[in-house]
Amino acid sequence: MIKTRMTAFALAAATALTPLAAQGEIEWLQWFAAENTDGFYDELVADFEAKHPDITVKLVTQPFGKVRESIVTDSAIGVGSDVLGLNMPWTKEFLDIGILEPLDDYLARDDNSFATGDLVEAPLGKIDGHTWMVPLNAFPFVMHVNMGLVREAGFDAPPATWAELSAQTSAISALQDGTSGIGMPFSSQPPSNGPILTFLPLLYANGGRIMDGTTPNFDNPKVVETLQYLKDMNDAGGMAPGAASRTGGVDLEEFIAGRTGFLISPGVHSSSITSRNPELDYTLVRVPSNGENAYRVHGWEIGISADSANKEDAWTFVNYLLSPEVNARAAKAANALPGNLKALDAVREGADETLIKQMDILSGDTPVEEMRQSPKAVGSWSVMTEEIQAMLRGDQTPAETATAVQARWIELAK
Amino acid sequence: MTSTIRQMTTKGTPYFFLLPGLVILGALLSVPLYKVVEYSLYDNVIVERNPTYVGLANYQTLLTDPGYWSAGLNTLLFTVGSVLGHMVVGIGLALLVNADIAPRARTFFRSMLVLPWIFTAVVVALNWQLLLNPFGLINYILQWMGLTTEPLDWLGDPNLAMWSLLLISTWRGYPFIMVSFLSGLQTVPRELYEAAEIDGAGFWSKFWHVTLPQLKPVIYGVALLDLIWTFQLFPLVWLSTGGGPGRATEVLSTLTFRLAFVDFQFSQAATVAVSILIISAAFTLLYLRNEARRL
Amino acid sequence: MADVATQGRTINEDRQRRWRQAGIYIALTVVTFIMVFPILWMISVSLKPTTETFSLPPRLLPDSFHWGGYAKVLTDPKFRTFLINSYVVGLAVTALSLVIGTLAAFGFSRYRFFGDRVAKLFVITTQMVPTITLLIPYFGVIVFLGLYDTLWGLILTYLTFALPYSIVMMNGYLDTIPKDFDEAATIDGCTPLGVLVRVLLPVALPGIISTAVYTFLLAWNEFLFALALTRSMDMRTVPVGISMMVGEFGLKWDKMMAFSVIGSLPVLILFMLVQRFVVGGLSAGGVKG
Repeated sequence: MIKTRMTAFALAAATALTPLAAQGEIEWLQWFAAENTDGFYDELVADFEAKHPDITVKLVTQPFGKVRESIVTDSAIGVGSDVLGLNMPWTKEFLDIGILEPLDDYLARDDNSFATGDLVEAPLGKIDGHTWMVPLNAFPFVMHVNMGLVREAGFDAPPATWAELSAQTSAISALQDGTSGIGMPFSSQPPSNGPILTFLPLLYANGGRIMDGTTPNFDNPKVVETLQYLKDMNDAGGMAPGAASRTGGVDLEEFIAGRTGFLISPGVHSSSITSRNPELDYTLVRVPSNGENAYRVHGWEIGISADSANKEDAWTFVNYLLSPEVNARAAKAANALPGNLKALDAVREGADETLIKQMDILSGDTPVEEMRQSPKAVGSWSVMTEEIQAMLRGDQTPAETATAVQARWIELAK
Repeated sequence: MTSTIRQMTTKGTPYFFLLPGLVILGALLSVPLYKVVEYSLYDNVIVERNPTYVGLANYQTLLTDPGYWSAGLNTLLFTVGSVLGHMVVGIGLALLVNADIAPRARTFFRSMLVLPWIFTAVVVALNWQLLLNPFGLINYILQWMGLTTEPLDWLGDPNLAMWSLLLISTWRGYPFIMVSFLSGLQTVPRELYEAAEIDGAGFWSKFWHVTLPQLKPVIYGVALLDLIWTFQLFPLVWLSTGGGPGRATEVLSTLTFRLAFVDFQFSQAATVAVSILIISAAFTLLYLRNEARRL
Repeated sequence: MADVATQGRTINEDRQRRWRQAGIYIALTVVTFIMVFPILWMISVSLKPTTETFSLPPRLLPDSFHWGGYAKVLTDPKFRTFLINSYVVGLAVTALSLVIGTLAAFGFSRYRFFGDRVAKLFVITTQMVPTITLLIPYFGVIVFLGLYDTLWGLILTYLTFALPYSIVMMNGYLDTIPKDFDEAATIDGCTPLGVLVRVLLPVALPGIISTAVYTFLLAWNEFLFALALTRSMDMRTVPVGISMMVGEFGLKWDKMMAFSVIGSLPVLILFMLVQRFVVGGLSAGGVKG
């Protein structure tokens, strides 16, 4: 009731005072233009407007850390943008608030610029019976490798299995003060998402899962095994000290500066690494596994707001973004893989070795993305962070950690 | 007749002075303040399209939640520690920088000492994260000086995190007290010091018997506001530690944010907010009564 | 004989004073260095390529000065817009809150009237709810007023944050001025407003300045509302611009620190100028007690 009243009152104001809902004008809320600062998205919008003179697109750029909050806040006041840049883990949470428009009918149209079957599949999977977002691009999680440190520690190839990874991390940490095998960013500082960056990719490579449909299933043997692996690696000194205060940002920078041997993160980091420290003897491999070729997939997704007054124009724009030609350009600008796989060939042209390797992972291995099904995804990874911190501190065993996360997650989802 | 009119205008005068301020505050903030209280009486606003009125159920949930109490305790520690830190460092530096030195030097030192205040919280938090990192400059210096043998994880160790946060908060907040106190010092009539000097008063005696009593109104005002703000200080805490490790530095404001924007439990968040309001209001009433007695 | 003795004493006192001064200078230098140290590190980060910031051992002085961060910030017109917006908003809020706040403070300080404590409690109460919970309903009010995505929306917002402070603090400063001042002026035929402007304000000048500094910095540093209440690049402020550099895929450390430093320089200069003004006003402020 409060919400409706608030919305009515805001809508009245919006229609009376601002031309927000003017026909043919759509807003695109995203963080992509903040990541890519050379004006690519302004040009993209200009190109679209030239091809569709009756539609104008307003680019609303927010820092990544604030986009999720902004979408909820804007929608509560009734000033939500029409097209939304999305992150897969937000899906279930946003559905529960009724923010997203189901896309099934749009995808079923036969005048689309792309075939639904060509799109990266993970974000399309139905939740509550519908498809809610489409992929602009995709990033598989990979392991970045500092070959210099690997060789210095006496190995000639990057690790492919868990056993090799443990051996190499300990050996690299032993090299000198300030050098560590691998960094694990388990700090509580926002976004506090270390576990989904490092723990989940390892778990998937171990054949494990943490969700059972939309129900949390954290307390299982594969999870305990993976937690045990992290704990052993930490106890053996392979992990960089200070995991409980280490942020993803610092983790990346220390790898670029040559202080850690390995970094598990999205493949898209390879361009920052090579451009910022060209001296680094760098390569990229799939996350070491126990024989399971599964990877965590991440990407930038696009959705339409349920409250949009201009859904047709919004779809026209989404349709434009997914056409193979535009999609290839967007992927290249972000140094990512395209969301429309028809664009792969165009992206492959002139791509460097690290991008080609990611394409192999994309085409051969199983993509996994579970957080999108999770109720309270963001809260759940804060819980994982806190419990893993306690485990690495020695306050609880891996089994206790798994039980604790499961219990708190269930409590949260209630 | 004339005297009645004059009396009326005199009586009306204070209202005339207060009007613009009260109108702006009332127009913009009374609705949001009311809304927050209203939110706390529903099951979940924003998320639910049709929230249900639940009375004081959210308050009951809150008061039986150990997380709330531990955040409350942390808030108390953080607030008292920060305000003490701000006051001691701020007043100390104000006295030092007000000392009898060349005016140019005075301007220079004052300006340098105000620097911690002119950067936005994101930058302050990120900068301290770098400095306090196990391989950061502070650990490096401490080890070089031989004060510690191992690098300490200042923000990641539950036993150290609150202290580190207090350090950051003190550093960030003292300039406000310093500047306010410094301005107050300029309004103390010099004759009072001269009189005290004739009586043979030393530095401390002058400070206790002249400066402090003279600046009581300023100190009270500053302390009250600093307490209220620190009690609900959000960006600096959230960006420096995120309430962690675990919940070692979780305070009521970060709990509010966590409930609202991490877990989307807006009504529970509003309930915490109202509890902050009630505590602050009780404190302010105490202060106002004290003030009334003083005048 | 007597003369020599006095002279001896003054020389002695003079020496003592000089020693004391030296002590103060040393203490100030040490303390200031400690307090400014984190800022020096910030500047150091702004002048290093990021790889050097994270290399070991950490060093305050860069190997060679790297101006890349500054170049990127100075050549991008977006950042100029952010700076201008921040200054416009900050100065407008400061001017408005000083005028409105001082008037209200005068009312509270110089009159006892029906409802004075309630009014004061209300003023302070507006500060007691964590702003993050106010955000959504407040956002609704701003949209309702048609001030969404305008600098006026921000100015008004920060005014509501700053007013309680201005009122309470100016009230405190005015309370330190003895009431005999007003009475003397009233007898001379001054109206209440005249008393405020001509008698009290000059004496309270240092207090006004510190209130102004506070108000300006509040607007200058605020981030949450600046982000929520604006959406065009043309309306964004410095803190929002800085937060844009904290990306999903890493942080532009050199650029972020460079922008912070560039943005803060004018604030620092402004503060220095204002400080001199306070020191100048000191002698005038020390009027008869």
